[in-house]
Amino acid sequence: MQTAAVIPATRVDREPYYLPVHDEVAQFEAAYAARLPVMIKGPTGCGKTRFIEHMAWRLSRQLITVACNEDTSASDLIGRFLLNAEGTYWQDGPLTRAARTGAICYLDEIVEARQDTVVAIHPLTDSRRSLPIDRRNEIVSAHTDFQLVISYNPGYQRLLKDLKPSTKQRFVAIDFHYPLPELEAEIIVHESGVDSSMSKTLVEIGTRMRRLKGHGLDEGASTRMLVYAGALIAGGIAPEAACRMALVQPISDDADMLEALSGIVQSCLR
Amino acid sequence: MNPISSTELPRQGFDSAAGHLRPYLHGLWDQEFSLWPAVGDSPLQRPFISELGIHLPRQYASHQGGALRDLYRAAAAHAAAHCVFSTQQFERKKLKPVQMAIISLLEDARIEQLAIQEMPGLRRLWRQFFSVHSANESNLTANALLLRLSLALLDTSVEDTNPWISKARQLYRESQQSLSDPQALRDIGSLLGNDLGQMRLRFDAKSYVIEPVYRDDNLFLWDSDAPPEETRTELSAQAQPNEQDETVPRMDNNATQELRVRTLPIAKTAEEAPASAYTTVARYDEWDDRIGLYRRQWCTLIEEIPQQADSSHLTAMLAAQLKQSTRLAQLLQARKQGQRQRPVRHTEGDDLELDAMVKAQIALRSGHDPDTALFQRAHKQKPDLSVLVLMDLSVSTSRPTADGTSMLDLMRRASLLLGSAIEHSSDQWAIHGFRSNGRHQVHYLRLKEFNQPLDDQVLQGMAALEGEWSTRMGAAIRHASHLMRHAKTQQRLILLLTDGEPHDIDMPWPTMLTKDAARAVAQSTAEGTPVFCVSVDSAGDDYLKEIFGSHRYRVIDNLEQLPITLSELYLQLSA
Repeated sequence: MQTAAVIPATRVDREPYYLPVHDEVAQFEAAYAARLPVMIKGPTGCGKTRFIEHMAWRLSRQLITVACNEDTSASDLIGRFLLNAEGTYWQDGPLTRAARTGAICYLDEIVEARQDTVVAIHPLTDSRRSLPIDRRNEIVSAHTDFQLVISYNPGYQRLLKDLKPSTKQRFVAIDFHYPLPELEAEIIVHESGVDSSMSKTLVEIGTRMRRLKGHGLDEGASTRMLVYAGALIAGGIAPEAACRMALVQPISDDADMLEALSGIVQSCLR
Repeated sequence: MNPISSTELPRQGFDSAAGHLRPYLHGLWDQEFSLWPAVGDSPLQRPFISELGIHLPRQYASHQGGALRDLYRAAAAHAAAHCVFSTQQFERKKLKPVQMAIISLLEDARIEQLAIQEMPGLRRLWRQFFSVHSANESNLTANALLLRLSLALLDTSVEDTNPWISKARQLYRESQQSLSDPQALRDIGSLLGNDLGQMRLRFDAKSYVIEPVYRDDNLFLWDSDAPPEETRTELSAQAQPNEQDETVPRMDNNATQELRVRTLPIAKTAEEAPASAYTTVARYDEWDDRIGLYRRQWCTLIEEIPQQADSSHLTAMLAAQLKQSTRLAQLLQARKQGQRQRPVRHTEGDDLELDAMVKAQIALRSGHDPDTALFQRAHKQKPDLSVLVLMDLSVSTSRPTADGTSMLDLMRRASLLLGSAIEHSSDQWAIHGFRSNGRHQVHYLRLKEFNQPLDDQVLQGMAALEGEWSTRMGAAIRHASHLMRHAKTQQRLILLLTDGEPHDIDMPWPTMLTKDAARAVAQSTAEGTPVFCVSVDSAGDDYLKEIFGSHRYRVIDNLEQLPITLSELYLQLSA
């Protein structure tokens, strides 16, 4: 019933900025060459989505992104009958469209989706490379350019919500982490426009906040948060206030933790 | 010891600061520091460092509000920098008190400089505690000169024309130029001390109190020749029983109490047990990592009926927590409502079902009778989660911590808070506990069963709990997991509360029990009962990761948070 947020298929025209951290670009290209389904693992805000956009641009393929949530059902991905004045008509879902047209289909946070949804992608991820649509009595064979990519954040402590082994084993995985400090500083400079010494300080703050993961914080400060802080600073907000807005307040509601985080920010700022 | 009082008193001074200082220091230095309140209320009380960790004054009467917070932060950051960088002790030998004071001061400057290199904001934090008078050049007592030197070394932009200070600055700079070296400071310090003597400035070691107020007494910098101050001995005597040393006092707890026994149908033999005292319930294998094999039927698990004690304080505690638990129950309920099942079609209901409408329309247009079940309705679910709270009841859990409560008190409070909230939801819960005295005596207490209401009997059992013996985690997890097999719900979960790593008196290699526990957890998870651990051992990351896996445990720095964290975790896990 609910429709997943579908970003329309886009030809990525301009190169999305992406700084390779390891050899993930080569790994992805090899996986694409063999048309293997790819699972991108990593904490939130470490550049998973940006990486996929970059790869779609590199490989000049269309990209269809679906942000999965707990109400995402199989028909949200595959498609459904709808009504208009003439009668019923079939509307392809994003996954079907990608399979027909040869786009890269990116299912973001797949683990949030309902189990039946996750099983629906199985036939596309093995040697069959096809998508059965039972309501239409049709089997869509995937276009040769089609590839399926899912993202998955193993960090969330959810025992009762995990991908089944039968799903996990259908993918090759690329493991993402926050970039090394020098690279992360470079990324922040590029994305936010702060100077490089402030960017290094932000990375210092980020590193220290990440140490508290599991000690009061569910996730450490992501690269994205650091970029946001940088953007605020570049926009004229005082560094301490910017860090409070972008790094401290969003990440915790616990008074002690907020106090500790502002202490860390103050200790690192020059 | 009253478990209620600690939450209701407004926290102030050390108690309020410790909560944010622990994560603050952890973030700064990537290690855990133990923080303790120092005894005594003298305004001259300074922080100090012991084998236990960092001791901070209970209260700084001189500061309020934001300044007080900064002062605690400055004191903690300074002491932590000592712990990180002051790795060698100075030999006292024939040094005079004034020389020791100067050497300590130079060492303070050295570690602060190293810390500032990593975190420049610390300079500002420390600098604010040097008052304007610190730099007053007309004051020529020894104490004033020492304070001026501290300032001059911390803040290079401060100008001080005093020849002794200029000389000290220069010597210090030269000695640390190539690389930070504490031992070079000893020579400089004794030289500068002699100079002060030449200037005929009297240094009164008895009345000397280190300034500024955030700095610690530096006694730990000196080798054992340095006579400990009175306050220190008094404190260490008091703090000793708190120490988390698990090995020593365990053995003297062998005095067996009289235990009431219930005979259980699965009982196999009772030969090892003294007649009529216990009933053997089961034997479990144990993984021996040295030989890479399970030792069959290695651990004897004995179920012990909990004793009963007056539970009026627990009843009072439940009443006091009523607000919290109602709030929690609402959250649990909200979570359930968020979890809608696959729509089941009804002829009436809350929402239209799109697919059913399309079908009906197709039927109408093609001339058939439509199905009138067009609605969906969210409906209440069966109990779908069984959670077993498994408490480590080893001796260390009943040791009082710095503020007088024990791990056991907090485990009681935590499990009852969570339980009383679950009681109002559709999940079911149980509380069990375990302890061990060698492999032949792994005791297991069922304090509350799944189908048992939270009544006086449960509370009396909880009230009578005392920490005893050791922690043989593997056998207990196997037994808990075995019991969980009978829980008829979709999801099952064991929440283990502990304060340290597995160990037992008959096992000289503690890592073996860690490996065994890891096996037990893996097996339980494979059978559909994942085990999640909440530990208060802030240095336990390594073994916890090994036993439970990297995302299946949580370490709490602040014991006080246990009740809230446990409930939070439960909500998160069951979401």
